[in-house]
Amino acid sequence: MRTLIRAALLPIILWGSLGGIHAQTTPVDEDLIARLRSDNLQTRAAAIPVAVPELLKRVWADDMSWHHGSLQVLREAVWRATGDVYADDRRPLAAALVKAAADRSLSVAARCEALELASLVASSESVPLLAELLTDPGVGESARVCLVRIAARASGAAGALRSALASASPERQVALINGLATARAFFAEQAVRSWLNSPSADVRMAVLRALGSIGGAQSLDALWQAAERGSQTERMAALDSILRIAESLPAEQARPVYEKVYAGSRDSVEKCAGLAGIARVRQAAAVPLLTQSLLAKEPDVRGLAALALAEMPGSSVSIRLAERLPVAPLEQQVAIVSVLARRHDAPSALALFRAAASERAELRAAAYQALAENRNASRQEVARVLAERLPAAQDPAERSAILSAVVSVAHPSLLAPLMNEREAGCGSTELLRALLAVADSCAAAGRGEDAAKVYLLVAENATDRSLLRMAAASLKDAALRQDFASRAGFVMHWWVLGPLKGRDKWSGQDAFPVDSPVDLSAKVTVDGEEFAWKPAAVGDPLGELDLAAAAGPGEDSACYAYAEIISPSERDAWLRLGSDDGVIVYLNGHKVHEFKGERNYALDEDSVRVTLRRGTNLLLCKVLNAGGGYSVGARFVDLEGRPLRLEQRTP
Amino acid sequence: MKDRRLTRRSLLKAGAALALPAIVPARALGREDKVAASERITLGFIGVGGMGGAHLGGFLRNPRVDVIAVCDVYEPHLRNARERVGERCLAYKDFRHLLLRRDIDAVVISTPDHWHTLICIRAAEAGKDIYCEKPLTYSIGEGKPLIEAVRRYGRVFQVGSQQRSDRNFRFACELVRNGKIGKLHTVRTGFGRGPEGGDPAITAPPEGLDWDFYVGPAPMTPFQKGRFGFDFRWFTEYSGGILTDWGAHHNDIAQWGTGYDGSGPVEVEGTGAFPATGAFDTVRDYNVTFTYPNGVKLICSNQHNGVLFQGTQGEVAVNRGFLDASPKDLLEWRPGSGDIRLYESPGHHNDWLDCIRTRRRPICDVEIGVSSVNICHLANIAIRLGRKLRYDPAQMRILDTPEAESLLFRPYRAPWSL
Repeated sequence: MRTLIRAALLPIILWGSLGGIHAQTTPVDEDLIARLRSDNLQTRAAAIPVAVPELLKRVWADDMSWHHGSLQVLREAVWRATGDVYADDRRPLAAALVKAAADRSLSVAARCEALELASLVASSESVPLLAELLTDPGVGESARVCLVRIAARASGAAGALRSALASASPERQVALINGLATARAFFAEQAVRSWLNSPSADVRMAVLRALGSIGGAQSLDALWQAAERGSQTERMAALDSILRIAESLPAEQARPVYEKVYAGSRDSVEKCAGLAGIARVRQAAAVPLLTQSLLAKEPDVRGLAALALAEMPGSSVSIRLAERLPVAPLEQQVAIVSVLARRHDAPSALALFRAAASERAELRAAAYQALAENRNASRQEVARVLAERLPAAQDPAERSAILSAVVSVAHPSLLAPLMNEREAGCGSTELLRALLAVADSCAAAGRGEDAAKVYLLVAENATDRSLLRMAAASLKDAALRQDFASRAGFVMHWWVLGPLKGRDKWSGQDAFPVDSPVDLSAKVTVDGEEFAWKPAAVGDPLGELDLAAAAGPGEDSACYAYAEIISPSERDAWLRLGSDDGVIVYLNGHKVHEFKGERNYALDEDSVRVTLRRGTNLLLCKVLNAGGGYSVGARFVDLEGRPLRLEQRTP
Repeated sequence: MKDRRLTRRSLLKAGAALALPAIVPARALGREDKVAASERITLGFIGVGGMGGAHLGGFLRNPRVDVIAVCDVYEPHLRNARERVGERCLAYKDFRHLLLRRDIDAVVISTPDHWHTLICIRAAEAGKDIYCEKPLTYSIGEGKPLIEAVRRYGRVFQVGSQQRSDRNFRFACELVRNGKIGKLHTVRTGFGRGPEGGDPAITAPPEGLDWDFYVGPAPMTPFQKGRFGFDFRWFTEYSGGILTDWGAHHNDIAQWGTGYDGSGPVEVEGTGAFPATGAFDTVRDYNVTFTYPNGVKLICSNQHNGVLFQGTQGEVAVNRGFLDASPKDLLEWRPGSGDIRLYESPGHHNDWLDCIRTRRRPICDVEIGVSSVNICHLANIAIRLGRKLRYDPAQMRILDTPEAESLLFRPYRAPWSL
């Protein structure tokens, strides 16, 4: 029988959800379910009282297919009845479901499911029985939820919750009060408020919270008292309800509430809440207070004031801020500028251009970045201002602010002034970063040659690894094959030998003496196999030598890469290198570095302090490859990180 | 993939010395590797299982924060988290106790979905800034109270829809928003089928789990293994299933690309199928169509994977680690100075931390998170009701019968309430 029912219900699941497939059921089930699904109202109405308890019996059955199948059929009927077409089914469905919920011969789980479903179709007719079930130890909670859910459309539902309050235990009182709040049962405000003096802290807390949902102005006094006298958690709950009530009041009534919260605030959280409320109800009239709050000692309050000012609609707000700007103290000026940056209207842009011409360097510095952010400020005009100010800016902070703004604006017209700065000897990382941003814009505007010059300039001068990477990537994107890697000081000419089978084996030994000069014409014999040195040139802008291409595929192997670099003098330097995977490095016959793990190639991953001798320096890298591609890249930079473009031996 | 220049844009900006003077000194923005202890943001973690544990790892490596408290209703998770953080970290079972601590600036919430809204609201009330995992809400009815609470207390709120901080997704949306695929007419999203199965056996909860607290505002049921841990999302008591779990990602991107952040469609209809065996009961197959006020259709079905924007002159497809377009040269496009540029995040965690300092809205603010998950909830409702529904995204209401509106919110189990 179980099998038959399961077989019957499975297709129904599909039918119900996808439509069109008729259930293949046993005669009994088929008939019952078919009648439940009939197009004829009377047929359905007759089937419902039988089908509902029958299907509920299978809820939470050991066999979950029964559970799913039964619930799905029931849900389908209920969901359908929520619409207008099958609205007439609601009444019989609700009656059958609530009746089943009261039937103690069914499992508690099934009765709870019945109430869950009833909450979608029940009306005031079901309220009396649901009210009785409120005290049922098995389904009382589900009955409460059901009443809450139908309260908006079923008269008497919320009333039943209120009526049950007086005789309920404190635990159930909390549940009932919560229910009245969720149901927005405004008529119950007084009844709920009367429990504020309950000896149960849980009940008092529930009341404090509920009043935020169902309370009006008449509850404010009680809430203020609770906020003043209660514990910290009670104060938080009371204030939250006060604020929620204020949100429901007309602006003129809400305003004194917010002002009281603000004035009586004990911490920045409360102050923020009061201020946010004042901003909401007073709008532009709140600008003076908000502007003053930009100087508050609490960062949260400053931030909230700035956000409120930035998002408050109306150009009059920008105009007021602009008027305040010239007469404000410096700290407030800077804060106002940051607000104007986010207002994106004509008055804010105009005020920012004025601020950028201020006599105060700090204000100008703030204005540049603000102009870069403000969408109403013409990019071209902002670029013009930045270009004008850059040569004149002596203050490092102002200069830094200009270059930062340039990164954001990145207008191609800024290329010339930036290059002028560069030629004047200013070569900071900030300048290079700005140049790179502008170069990208130039490339996008079809000025690839101009962009390429910048990328190469960055290659020659960048001491910052990220800048170098970005410049190289730009070159690649722009399909500009330039001698980027050599400008960045990479070893461009290598000789390779390998691959030698067995990474682990070669991590601890060498195939030839590494402490003496390498004889590039000599053959190296390993396990009977003869290897010769082969020249290999770097073609990658990031200086990466692809050993798979140069020496052949090398799973689980080692491969040597050798280069000779000529230094005009003895000097200390950094050897910067990356490898895929591990690497052991010898310089002039001495091991100077090793990395034996697995990794992908990354530019300048390792830095090793070395001393280059005058004349030829011998660089030997043994790359240890676990699998996949393998590679190495190396360059020498001075102690400040600037590339040393040293002569190299070529084939 | 030719998206490096987009990376450069954010990197250049991140590297530039930002002038954000009003709120905070620049050093507090964490540009340096080391941040003074007094400048670090103190965090509490609520929920330290799967996602919470992953977030914990990420934030423990972030020099801009100090994790000083963890909370979970499952003792082994709590113990493990505390051991990972160290002696300075206090452990709580009850999130309300954690929220009372004044020295905690912000909280990371990674509980099962049915807890998100309630804890977020209480956290806002306690003055905490919030990072909450997606899907942000359990039901449409939770959205408004949540947004109101966050605004009421001026909190910085980041939803864990981290695809927004991924350059591929942003680039795809910028293409669409700038009309590069012509007039957008259809968006297709999908993320495979929901699972069927789950051990139906009723057992005792695992030792160390406070089952009553775990169930919290959801209806109480007997314990089944899958209800705790990753599989909670396949039970309707705690989640909207695959449609909210993944819809909160891909449908979120769809709304970003269509320009309906904080809003939503005006019509929805769909079909679906539910598991026939096992303990799981959330939707398995789905095919839902949303219609936006401008006529754009969003079709969310398990016949598709990722997000596909279709316009009159081209298409762009995006997924995790995948970006493609037709015509291909769309991938070479770069936004010019007059083009729409979408919010560029320096990483989902760091964007949130930046905004905590600057008090700006993060890339996935609460209103966005609510509107994105609302359409996932709508999909679930439309499948259940089996008819076309009209929706008011501003009021977050279904314009149908009062009975259908009952599905917008499920009252919380006592003693919990919003």
